[in-house]
Amino acid sequence: MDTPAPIVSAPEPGPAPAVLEVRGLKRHFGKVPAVDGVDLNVHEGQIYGFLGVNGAGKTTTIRILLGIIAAEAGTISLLGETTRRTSVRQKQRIGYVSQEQNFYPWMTAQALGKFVGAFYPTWDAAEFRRLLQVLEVPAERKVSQLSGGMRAKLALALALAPRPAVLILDEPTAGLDPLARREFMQLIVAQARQHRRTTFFSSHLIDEVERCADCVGIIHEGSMRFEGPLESLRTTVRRVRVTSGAEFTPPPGFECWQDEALDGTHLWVLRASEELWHTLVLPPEATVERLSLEDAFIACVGSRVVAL
Amino acid sequence: MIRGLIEKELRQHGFALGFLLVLPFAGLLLILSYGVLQRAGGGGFEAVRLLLYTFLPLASLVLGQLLIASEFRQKTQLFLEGLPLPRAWMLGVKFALGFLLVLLMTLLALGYVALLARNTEALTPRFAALLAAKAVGWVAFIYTLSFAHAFLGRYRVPFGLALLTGLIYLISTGVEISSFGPFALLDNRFAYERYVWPVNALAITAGLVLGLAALGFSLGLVRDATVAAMLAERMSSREKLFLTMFILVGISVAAIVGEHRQNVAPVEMPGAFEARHGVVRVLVSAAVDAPSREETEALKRTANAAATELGALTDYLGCDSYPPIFIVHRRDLKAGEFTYGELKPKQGLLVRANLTAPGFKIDALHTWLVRESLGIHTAGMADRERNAWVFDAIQWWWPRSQHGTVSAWEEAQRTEHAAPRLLDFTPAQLHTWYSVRKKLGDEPTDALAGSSLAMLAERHGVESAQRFLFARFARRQPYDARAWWHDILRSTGARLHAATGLSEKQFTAEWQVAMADRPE
Repeated sequence: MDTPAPIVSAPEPGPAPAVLEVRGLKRHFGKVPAVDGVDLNVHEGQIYGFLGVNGAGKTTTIRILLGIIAAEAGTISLLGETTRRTSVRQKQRIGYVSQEQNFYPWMTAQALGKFVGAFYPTWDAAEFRRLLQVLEVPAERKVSQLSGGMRAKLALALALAPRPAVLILDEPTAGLDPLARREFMQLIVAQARQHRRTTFFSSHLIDEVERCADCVGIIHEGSMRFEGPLESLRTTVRRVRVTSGAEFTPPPGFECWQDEALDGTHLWVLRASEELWHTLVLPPEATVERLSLEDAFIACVGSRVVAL
Repeated sequence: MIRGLIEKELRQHGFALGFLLVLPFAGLLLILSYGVLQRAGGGGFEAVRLLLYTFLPLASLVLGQLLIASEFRQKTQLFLEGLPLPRAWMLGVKFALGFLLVLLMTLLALGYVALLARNTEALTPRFAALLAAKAVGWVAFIYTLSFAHAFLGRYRVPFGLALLTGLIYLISTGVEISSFGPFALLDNRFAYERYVWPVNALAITAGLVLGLAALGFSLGLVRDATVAAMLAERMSSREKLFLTMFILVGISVAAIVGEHRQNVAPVEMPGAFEARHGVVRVLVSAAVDAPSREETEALKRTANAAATELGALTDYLGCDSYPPIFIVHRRDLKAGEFTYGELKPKQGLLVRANLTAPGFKIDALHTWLVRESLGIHTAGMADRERNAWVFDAIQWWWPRSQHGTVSAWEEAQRTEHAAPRLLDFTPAQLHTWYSVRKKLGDEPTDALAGSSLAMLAERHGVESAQRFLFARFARRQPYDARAWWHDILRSTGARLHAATGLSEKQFTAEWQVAMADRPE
């Protein structure tokens, strides 16, 4: 089966301007291309789910967006300023929650807030205290005495207290139990909706993205495979099942994401506009199925079903 | 932003930093109250020198660990990287904070001692400036070294040990480390020198400080700090195994070298006849209660003859030093029987021989002395199998060439004629000379080897032969790994090529042709 070509849909026309635009981002580690020409379009107030399997290039992309590591090529337009590497000034308008919380274990949540606040001109100490209360993080407890869930909430409070224009979260729920994960993501969605704050979060959990995101970007092996509204993924990607012997070839305009034969049945996962799907002529033995987001994602990243 | 970083460091390490600031004063008071240094002269400034030599490196090392290594080991630098903060600032604040602390520590110690010495010392501004400049130079060097060292992560300890061992080794080999750059700033004139500025030492120190600071910052910043983060990872089992082996081998080598480097007392030979020629010193004595007149004459004669013979050889080879030769006359030995005495190579060569035995030949003694003394002179490298053909060659050729003035080719042809021919003339055969010796026997092999030098002198001139022998034997080799190192770096083949322009292959080919041309 051919690897699906990168498919990046054009930004949805709408009133919200783009807050984050990335073009042709590249970064290698040795000879391995960790990020290989990534394009992103994130609009104001949008919750953007950045989906990819482990090692797809999500964290590297986010670290480049934050200026922690440099890109070898490409540009980043963030809040109206276009650069190769995000500046400190731009970074002061981003709230960031990393995958692992490497806080100083000897600091209390309160002290950590005071320390982090010194780096943000817009830091709101009262808001930080309020967030600690709302998130039920004990202010006087040392970080070393906080649970994983508490630390994640503390990281969120630290990221939100400067009232950032953009919130970037790198697999924020990794390591949390399902309950804490759901609670955490509800908080993210709530604050994003309430403050119309642009939120960009990465995850490898499809249900999490399905539940929270307005828009999804799928990255695989360092390249973008899909970008667009979740609904578009659901409506445009379908599976064609043809029993053996029947003649079928995907017509022009249909992009083939998956093509494999299994137990005498030929399966195609195709992507096309809804109008094109209506015009598709199929042999009598063929059926068309709508896909779950998970199946669409698996087809997109090129995974095969292995017959054991 | 910077204030936040400084506050963080002070809150994180405040206790340790305060302790480091106070501790040197406790040490200083201890040294001063002991009073030994005051009596020895130099006042309390000698105590400051001691403090800078001992405590400051330890304090700098601790600071490096606290400010840099612990940050990367706990991976908290990842948290700082997520903040709107340039990475260089993060390192710059750490560097400046640590440096200011050690500087403060040093200047306070100097100030305190100056206060104590205000009534007993002539504290001129020039003297104070000299003391301050030297102390600051040393502090900057030690601190930047510790700063760069702290970025080495899991390799800090092995690297530190290697550095310390290297320093001890250099000192043990007699290298005047105290006269070099930063070490010269703290030499034994530190507390006394009032006029002369150590310009050279300060310049070298400044260069080293800049280099080390650049190295530290590069390690912390290069490739978005991924190098420092990678170095801070825990050591793998394979690395631990490799390092353990490396350390064990290092200790073994150091022990062997140390054993060879033990100071040995010079050999005294009371009542011996001594003769000197250039760098050669020969002492001859009799191990008998009352030497006869004939024996006394023989001792004197032997001393002079051996000194002349070996002196001519060392002049010819261009040696700038040579092991001393001790010859002990023993009546119980046969003529031509030479036995070794128990001396360390550093002490020289001791041989026992019966100098008045009927049939005793001085030439035989000379041949023996040439071989054994050259062996010691080259730390045994001359007798390595790949070099042995030259070693055999010079012993045969030296007396026959009238001390290198003629080629002795005809004699070589005559003598070698009686010996079986070599099967082939190849560099490989030169490198396996013991096998050739085993095949041909001692005397034919010597003659064959000698013919190589005779051929070289005949075809390319005696100067060519001298250049080659100079390249091979002139330099005295230390009895440690350096001799092996030199021998590997400059093989006999390389020396032959450098001296004569002939490769080993060309040389053996020419030798073969010359031998084939000789009259049957």
